[in-house]
Amino acid sequence: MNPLAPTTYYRRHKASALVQVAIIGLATVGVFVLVSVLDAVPSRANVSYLTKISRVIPVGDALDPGIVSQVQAYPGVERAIPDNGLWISLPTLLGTESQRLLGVSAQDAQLLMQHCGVRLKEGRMFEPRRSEFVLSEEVARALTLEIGDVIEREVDKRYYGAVSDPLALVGILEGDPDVSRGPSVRLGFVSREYMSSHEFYAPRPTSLIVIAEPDRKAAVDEFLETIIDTPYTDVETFAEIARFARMGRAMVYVVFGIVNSVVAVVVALVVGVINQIAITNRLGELGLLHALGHHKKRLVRRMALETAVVACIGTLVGLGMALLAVSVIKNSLFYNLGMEMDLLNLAPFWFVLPMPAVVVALSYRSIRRTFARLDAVSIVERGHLSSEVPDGRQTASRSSVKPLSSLTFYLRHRRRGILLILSTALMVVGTTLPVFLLSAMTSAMRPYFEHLQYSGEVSPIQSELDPGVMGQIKSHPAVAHTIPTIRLAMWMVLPPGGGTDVRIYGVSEADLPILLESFGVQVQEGRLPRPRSNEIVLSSAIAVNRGLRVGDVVGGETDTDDSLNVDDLPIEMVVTGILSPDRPWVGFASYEYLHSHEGVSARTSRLLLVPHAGRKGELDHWLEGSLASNQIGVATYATEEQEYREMTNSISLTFALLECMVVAVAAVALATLNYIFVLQRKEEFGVLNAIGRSRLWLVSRLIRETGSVAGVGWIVGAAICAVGLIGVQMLFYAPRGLNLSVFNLIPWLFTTPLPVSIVLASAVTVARTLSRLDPVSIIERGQSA
Amino acid sequence: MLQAEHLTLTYQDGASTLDAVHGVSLIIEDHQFVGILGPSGSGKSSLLYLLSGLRRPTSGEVYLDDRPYSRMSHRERVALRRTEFGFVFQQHFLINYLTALENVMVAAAVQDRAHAAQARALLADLGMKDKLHRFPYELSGGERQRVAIARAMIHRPRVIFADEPTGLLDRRTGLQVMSLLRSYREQGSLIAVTHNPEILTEADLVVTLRDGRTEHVKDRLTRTTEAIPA
Repeated sequence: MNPLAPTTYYRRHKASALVQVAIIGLATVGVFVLVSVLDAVPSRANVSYLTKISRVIPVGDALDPGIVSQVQAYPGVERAIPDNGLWISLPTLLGTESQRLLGVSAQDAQLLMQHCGVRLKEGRMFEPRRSEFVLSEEVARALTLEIGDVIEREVDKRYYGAVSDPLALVGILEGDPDVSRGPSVRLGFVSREYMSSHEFYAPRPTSLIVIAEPDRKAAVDEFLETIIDTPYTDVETFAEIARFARMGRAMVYVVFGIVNSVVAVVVALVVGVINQIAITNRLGELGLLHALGHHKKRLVRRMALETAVVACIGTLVGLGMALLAVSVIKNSLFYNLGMEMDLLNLAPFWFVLPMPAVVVALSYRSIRRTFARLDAVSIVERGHLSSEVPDGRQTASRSSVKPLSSLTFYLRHRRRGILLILSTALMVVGTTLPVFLLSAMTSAMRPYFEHLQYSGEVSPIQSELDPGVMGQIKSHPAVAHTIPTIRLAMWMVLPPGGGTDVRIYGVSEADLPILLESFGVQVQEGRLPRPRSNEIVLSSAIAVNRGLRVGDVVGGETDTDDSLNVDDLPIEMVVTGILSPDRPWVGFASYEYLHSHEGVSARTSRLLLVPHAGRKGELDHWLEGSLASNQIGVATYATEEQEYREMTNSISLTFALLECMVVAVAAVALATLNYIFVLQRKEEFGVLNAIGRSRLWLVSRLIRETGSVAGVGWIVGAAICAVGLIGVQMLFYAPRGLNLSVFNLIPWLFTTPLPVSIVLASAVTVARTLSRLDPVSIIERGQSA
Repeated sequence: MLQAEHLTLTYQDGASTLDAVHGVSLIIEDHQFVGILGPSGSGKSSLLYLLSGLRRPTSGEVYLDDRPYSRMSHRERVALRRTEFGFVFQQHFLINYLTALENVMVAAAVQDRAHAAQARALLADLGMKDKLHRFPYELSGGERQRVAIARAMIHRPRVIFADEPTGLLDRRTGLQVMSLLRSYREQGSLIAVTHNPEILTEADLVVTLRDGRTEHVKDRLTRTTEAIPA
């Protein structure tokens, strides 16, 4: 047996090895689970059918027959099936996602199921002309639906907003393991005959489901994207969805790259300190080996190898536990939400692997620095060195009146203080920055519905507003103006990779001044759009965000090059004016032009209602309470704000959960570090206890010490964060016309558990250690040494 | 007055028991210098721990002014050590990151400027005037022990317990240290534990222990030596 093997030391010092393995393992679990969960969010399992089929959707009221013939005639296309289905929504980890219920005949449903490797698991298929639907088991589970359950707008507006009349679930679908392994394709079907004969659903445009011949899917998708995709026809292919998923993932990686780096550095620092202490305790051994002829380089290599072995074991243990944790999450939370998670996804591994590398690199550097000062003779002469030597063998020119204060301790242990402060600060930065960016993104979205503070919006759910309803609205005493509009949308880019729709209203020449006055905006530059022209005016925030100036063209073909822009502007529009102030985010175009344009004319008209002065509350109350129904959608400031709150709350909740993991890793790592420092000071505590300082006093002193460094760490972290955020505001947000508020309380609230957890975890470990403190044994041990 | 009655301290060693102190009785008057003498393992340090309240006896009782330790709570006994007693150990047990002056201030009743001035004066009296702001590792063994003595005296305790205070010092320094400790007799009692009879020549009372039992007691004032039967 080789006594100098890299495993010998830690086999004989299991506690030290276990601490390091535990810290690295815990950090590995935290980062791995974090990345695995977030990486699964953009996987868009709800549109997994696009891996097997593609869709062609009319932008206007119907598909051009020429387009249909062109698709059907393409050599790689096996079948083109008309689809007049509808969308429902389902809850996911971050908000909601949409699931298509394909409106096809029973025969076509069978064909699609066969093609997608799906079979009926339970119940039966829908009957033609019956208000029935079937759904994949994952989606049904996420919506807690069982056979016999009925869905409609009245049941839950969030998920079934488009379902005007009740639909009964009659069958549950599942992936056919004989056809395909892995995650099953999610499908939902509703009877085409029922939909086309229903008064609400019939007027809606029919799209086309395209089934490619075997091995021709890629070619067909390319044909659809290059030839069929035009301003008048949308196509949905897997490549397009995959592009969005990649964008979503890129954002996740950017945000959590920061968290991961911080965790890696803190873990490396903690393990580095533990190693440093171990080296100090082993100086006698190392000095002796050096005196016996072992070269310094060889000793450095041996120590580094020892750290590497421990780091690798820690990583492997962490990976094992992480896979277990991810598998539990997959089979519980994700299962219940009907979400997919690939356990063999490589991305989390890439985030985790740098951690042991950083640990070994930092430890190696520290070991080399120590060995550079190694003097075998002095070590052998002095024997075993105490690790309780103040930093750098300092000298003092004056003494403190309060020698037991936290300040005195950390002034005499600057490196230790800086280490704890830096670690806490890094953790604060790591937690705050991503939360700040995400909450800034969500709070930056707010102005998109601010115009509803001055107006209300009424829209038909399916076709047109009933003339009777129109009359009712116009005659309501709170309504001053009823303005017909056609609504389009533009995309506001929110760094680092998000965005939100802002509303562009097609308004008549006569109504536009009313809205401008009502919204409190005016033309800052250029002029208002002329009637029957493809002209548009935009809030200055939108113009700045999109880099648009008067004279620029937006929409139609112009956006296709920029993958970030997903405008709902099928027509090329010329910017003729910029509105100020920059809020609310809104734009206006000519109603007459949009109404007559084939790309937009099929869109249902909406009404913007401007109330009489002081009667906005009354109007909103009536709209929400009396007018909103299965056929009439109503948007008021309150309803939009509620939706916005639900979305942000869901994001906040997810982040709170993830934050818990980061906090747990940080608290355990820093509390361990603190615990090690406390153990080093056992003699000091023993003597203080012997001369009359109670255990309670000692514990409270240590809590004060830890609390003060954690507090300073928090302040330093907050300051770094604030500087970083100001930088982000100046570099990324201000140029996009956005405002990232450093004074937003929510992200700061996310950081408060960090110092509290560190202090609590330290208090518990310190109290436990000191409860067993026996001053006599410490004095006796010291005297016998 | 500190009084010990039939003190016994028994350690459990596996299945067997070991009496570190057995049936020791002792009366220590105020301002008395009491020496506890005996070879290594005779139980003298254990007796010191019992007298100072650092250990609880297996049987017997210790009284300070007729107040039995057994009736005191843990907190009261800790407070007693802080206010009424001072300690000097064989090793200095100074806190390494604090200066000489700060180490003395650790035991001060209140940590303020007035007490800092007292500590400064005390260290000056002990010949440490120029080394107030030195860290323990910058001091010699004798100097460290002087700082430890100043720490034991700063709060003017009624009793100073010194456990082998010269054990790690050369003879000359050891005698100097004992001289400093003896000087405290004007303010309080001194109980010194040692295996070296030379440093107890001026003790008022010398209790010799062997195997945890009192072998004999020598009273310098009454000039009597009483042998205690085993």
